[in-house]
Amino acid sequence: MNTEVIEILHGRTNPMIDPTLHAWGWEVPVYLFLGGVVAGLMILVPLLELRTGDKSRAFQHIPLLAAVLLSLGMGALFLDLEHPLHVYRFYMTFQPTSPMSWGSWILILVYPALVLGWAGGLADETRSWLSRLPGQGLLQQLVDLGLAQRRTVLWATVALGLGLGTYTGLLLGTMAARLQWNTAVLGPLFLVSGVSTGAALLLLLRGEKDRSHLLVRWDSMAIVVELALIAMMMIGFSTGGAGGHLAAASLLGGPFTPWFWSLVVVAGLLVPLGLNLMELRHRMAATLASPLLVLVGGLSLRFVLVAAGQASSFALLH
Amino acid sequence: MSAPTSQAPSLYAMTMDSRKCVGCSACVLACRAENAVPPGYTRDWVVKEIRGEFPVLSQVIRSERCNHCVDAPCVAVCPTGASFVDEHGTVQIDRDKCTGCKACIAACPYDARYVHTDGFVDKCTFCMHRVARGEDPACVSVCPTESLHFGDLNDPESSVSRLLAERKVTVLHPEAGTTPKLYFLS
Amino acid sequence: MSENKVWLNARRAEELGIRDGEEVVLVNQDGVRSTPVKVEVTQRIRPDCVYLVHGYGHDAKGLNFARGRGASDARLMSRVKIDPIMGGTGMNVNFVRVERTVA
Repeated sequence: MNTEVIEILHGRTNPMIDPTLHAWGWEVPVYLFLGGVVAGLMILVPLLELRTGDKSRAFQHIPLLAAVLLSLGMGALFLDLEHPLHVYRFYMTFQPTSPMSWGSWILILVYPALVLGWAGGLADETRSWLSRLPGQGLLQQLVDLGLAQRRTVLWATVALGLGLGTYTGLLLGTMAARLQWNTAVLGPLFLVSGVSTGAALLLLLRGEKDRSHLLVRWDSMAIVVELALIAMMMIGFSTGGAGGHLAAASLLGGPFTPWFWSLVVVAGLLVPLGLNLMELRHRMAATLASPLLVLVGGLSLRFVLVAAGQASSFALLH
Repeated sequence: MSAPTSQAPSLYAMTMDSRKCVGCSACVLACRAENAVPPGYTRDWVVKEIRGEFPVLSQVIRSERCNHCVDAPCVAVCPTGASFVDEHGTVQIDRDKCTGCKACIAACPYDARYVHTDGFVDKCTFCMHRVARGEDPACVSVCPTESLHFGDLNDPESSVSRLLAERKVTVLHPEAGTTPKLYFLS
Repeated sequence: MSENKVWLNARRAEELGIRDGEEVVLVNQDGVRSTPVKVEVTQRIRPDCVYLVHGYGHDAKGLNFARGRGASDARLMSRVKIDPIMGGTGMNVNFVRVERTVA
């Protein structure tokens, strides 16, 4: 630790950059949250069907909901762009070293998977209801294709969900310049958080009770893994040189400490885990409290990390 | 500095002699004028580090800018290819391709980039438009103490090559692992 | 810069219990009080001096940038000593004490 007395007079006062970086506002955490929820939905709902063997009537429109949520997230990203007229430039190239480039293309592939997943998962009554609407030919083609390739579509959806959930963490985790994000744990952490928040959303919308116990179990497992990953992240920071120490300190006494522990860990992970276990052990009536807290925790995790990461510049190490 | 030869590819770098820098900020003003930098923004800046306790004090003054790193993370994260390394090893931005996503801003360990008021991301370009004419970058040419030098690392006779061979050299935050090409002489 | 700050030696600030960025008022030997100004704790000044960038903290309405921002060093120079031969004005005869605005 450098205990020398040092004063630094810095002549740069660029807006958004100084005194500490604050270039990304609410748009990025909101997108990361929605992307995570959608990734969770894309992993859980197909796995539910593959595991139980039958399609869920209650969740048949989840792919559409996922498409809407993802579009809202992409809308937030669009609002974040400083030069939005150039947005098409994302789709004129593929940059393999850029997680953001990976993400833009994954997002493009997600939509057809969701549409086919929705078309192939419609209950008979819904399909006959929809057959009264215009655009029948197209809908019937989608349904036929969706049904014929059901397993492929389901597994593709799971794979794309894994990619979507992981890349949201890699967006931050590959930036060694920001000490708070300099951990390999962020990719898996955001994926597991996405699964947990996706499960929470499904629990809020749940219909059949037996399916909900499966979801509560999966949500609880995801929460436990998330807690383990956060612990690994803190250990990695604490043993990771001066930069790591700074990152650990920011969550253990620095300005982000209260938000991280209260909203993300206690309210977002520990309390819902406790409520879930009580529901599973004692067959207690399910409440909305646990899934709502998980969603608040997931959103808070991203807000805290995006803010803390921007503030954690190399300039702090002198 | 002589006009670039057309034989071997150049690898441009800059040296900054903190023993000669007096912190006058002429480099800052010259750059802003030369590159039409919007008011309130800057592509280069002066940093003063004061160490010790009064009255036993020491001071280092230096002029900083984009380091045009060999392993530039800003280029790696750019999703549109707007940030790229040119044939002379300098890091440049194609304004037409920039969407203003700011990934590069977050990726820079030196916080050397900023968002231009016109919406694209901007930074020091090593004044390549001047270099193409055989001139030094604006900051180098106005420095009253000649503390800044610019040149080709692949040319052993260039001022930067000779200075790097003769002097004690450091870079900022080598632990970032980006291999910066703005060298500080002490 | 948007305001000036009064430079205070770091050791002196510690003795006075004043932290960096705290708001203070400077009061000179004739009881003239400055407008409130933030402290910049620094090693770059002697313990028996304070420093203010000149030009801030004015009253005149027309000086709409300087008015209300920081403190005026000129106001605190209520005494001068005139050189008897050439009439030059010595202003280094003013002394201030530092008062915290929040106790």
